[in-house]
Amino acid sequence: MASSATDLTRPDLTRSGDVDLVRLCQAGDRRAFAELVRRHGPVLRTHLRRMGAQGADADDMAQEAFIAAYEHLAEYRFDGPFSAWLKRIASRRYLKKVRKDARYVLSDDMSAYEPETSVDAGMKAHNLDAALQRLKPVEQLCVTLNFSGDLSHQDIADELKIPLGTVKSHIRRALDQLKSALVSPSVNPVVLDTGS
Amino acid sequence: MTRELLNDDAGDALTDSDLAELFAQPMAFDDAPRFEAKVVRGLSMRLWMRHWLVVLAGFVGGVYALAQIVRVPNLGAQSLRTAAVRTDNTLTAGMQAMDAAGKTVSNFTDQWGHYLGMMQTPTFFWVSFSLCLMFVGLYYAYSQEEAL
Repeated sequence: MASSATDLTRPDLTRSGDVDLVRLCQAGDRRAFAELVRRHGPVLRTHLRRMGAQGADADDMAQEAFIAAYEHLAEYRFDGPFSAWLKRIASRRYLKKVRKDARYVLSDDMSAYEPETSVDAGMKAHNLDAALQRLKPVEQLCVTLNFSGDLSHQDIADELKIPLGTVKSHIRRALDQLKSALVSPSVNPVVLDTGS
Repeated sequence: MTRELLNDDAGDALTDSDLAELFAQPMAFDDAPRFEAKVVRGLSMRLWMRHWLVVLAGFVGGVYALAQIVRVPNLGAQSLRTAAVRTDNTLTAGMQAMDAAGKTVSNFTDQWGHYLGMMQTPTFFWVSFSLCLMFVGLYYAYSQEEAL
């Protein structure tokens, strides 16, 4: 009885906006933080995977990013979507790791990553993640930071410490390959459920 | 339920905005609840450890500070014995028990007396001071690493 009475006095956090949840978190409400994790967890995990992080590593980094975000909530300026702020934190953490392994990820050697000339039918069905896997790691990283992380070309160049022109060429090449791999097949148009 | 075509001009190449929409779609994770629980548990654990680290640091610091100023008291039971004079047997028995406990404490502190003496030497002070500085430096470096 006591717990149900308590539940009645607690607001339904699933209906709260991110801004309200962040303010509750700043006041020390862990339930609000859990709701933020529930809401943005898949987005962050997807973002890290698309940048090139592997399964368990991506999840660990997503967890670290959430905890870092909680501990630095005072630095969130409410000047953009909370998910974008989270992605930026996760991106920086992943890039720190990438820089330690820069010879592999930031290599310009294309030989190991030449796109396959024949694209199978599954790839044609808008499988963005499979198409990303076929890109060179640095291209995958650049295009994801640009499209998913909302970083400008200059921001990416600064973060990766590579020339701006190189970033632009990586993104252009990645986009060309993605568009070629993801040409919408006329036999199977993709339908998205908007949930409304 | 409203549905919409992502790319109604099927057969054409995707545009940048189409790709942006694809990037905006998160993957589906079967283990989402488990991940949420893991994150919340990780945060709780970190906050708990930090809390108790502060408590432990305060305790160690307090003990160290006490070691600088406290002299081992003579816990001989003379005063207690005096206080027990002319009282009833129950109180006397209690005083005797306290005597025994006091002697135990006294013996214990005697055994550790030389350690306390060592803690009051300048060498110990400088060693511990250097360690504290090192911890502060490490904490600062860690905070820089954790900076967003």
